[in-house]
Amino acid sequence: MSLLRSQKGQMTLEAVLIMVIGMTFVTVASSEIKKKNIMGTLVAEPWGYIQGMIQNGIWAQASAGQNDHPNNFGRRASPRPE
Amino acid sequence: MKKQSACNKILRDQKGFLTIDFIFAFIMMFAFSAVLFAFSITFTSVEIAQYATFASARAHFAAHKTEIEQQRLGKEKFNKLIRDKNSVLGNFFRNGWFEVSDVEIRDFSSEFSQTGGVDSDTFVGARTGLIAKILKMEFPMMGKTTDEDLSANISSYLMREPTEEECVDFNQQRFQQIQNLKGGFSTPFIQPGAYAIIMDDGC
Repeated sequence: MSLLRSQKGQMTLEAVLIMVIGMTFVTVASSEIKKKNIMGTLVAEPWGYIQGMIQNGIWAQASAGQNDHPNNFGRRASPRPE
Repeated sequence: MKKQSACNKILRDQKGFLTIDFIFAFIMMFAFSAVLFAFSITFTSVEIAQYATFASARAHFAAHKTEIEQQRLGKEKFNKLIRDKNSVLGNFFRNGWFEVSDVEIRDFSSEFSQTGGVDSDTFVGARTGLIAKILKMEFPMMGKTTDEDLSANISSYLMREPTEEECVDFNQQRFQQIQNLKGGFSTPFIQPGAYAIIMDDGC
């Protein structure tokens, strides 16, 4: 009975438990980030639009915005702008 | 007894309790910061490459004896800005973070929609391809940013002045057309080489 009432080692168990919870949180969060391709969403996805802006000056995918390149439009100059 | 006391002290010690959370948060913040830095330096490099293509297209623009000479000048300018070892701007493309292809100078009109016969539809100029290798990253616990190289074509379309060769050909053709007109323009008895055509329009 005295062994059962002993509270020695209780802290160890709790520390292990919290360690497991911490590891579980990190593992789940890490796998979710990888599964949802968060880093890809931050970089690869917007790059399509950035590429379009670099190539065509239009906020659209490079292939879609090609026909809207400003050089496709007629340009006029006026000595007396309104 | 002394050993047991030391053991209890270690167990009661809460230092480093949040180490795992800290490591995860640190990696996450490092990853986001690295992505922001990579984008910033990429935009800077894009601007530099854009300037290099503009300078190249401008060098190619000016009239010369032949079109080949115009292209040579354009390429020389690009190489001086980007490939030359003494070029400050070129340092951006020698550290392995970015890669630029050799400059291409020609008419790119076939890649764009053309309304036909409109002078403003100009796609003659210089182009280079930029690969942003710095954006291709992989972080522990966070995954990859991309599987493929992220690239973009960087161009400057400025048009091109006619060459001396083209100008002489044009004037020669015009002279022939004038001679072919009915009336007093034709000169049937010109001996070959008897006259030299002198252009007064800056050819």
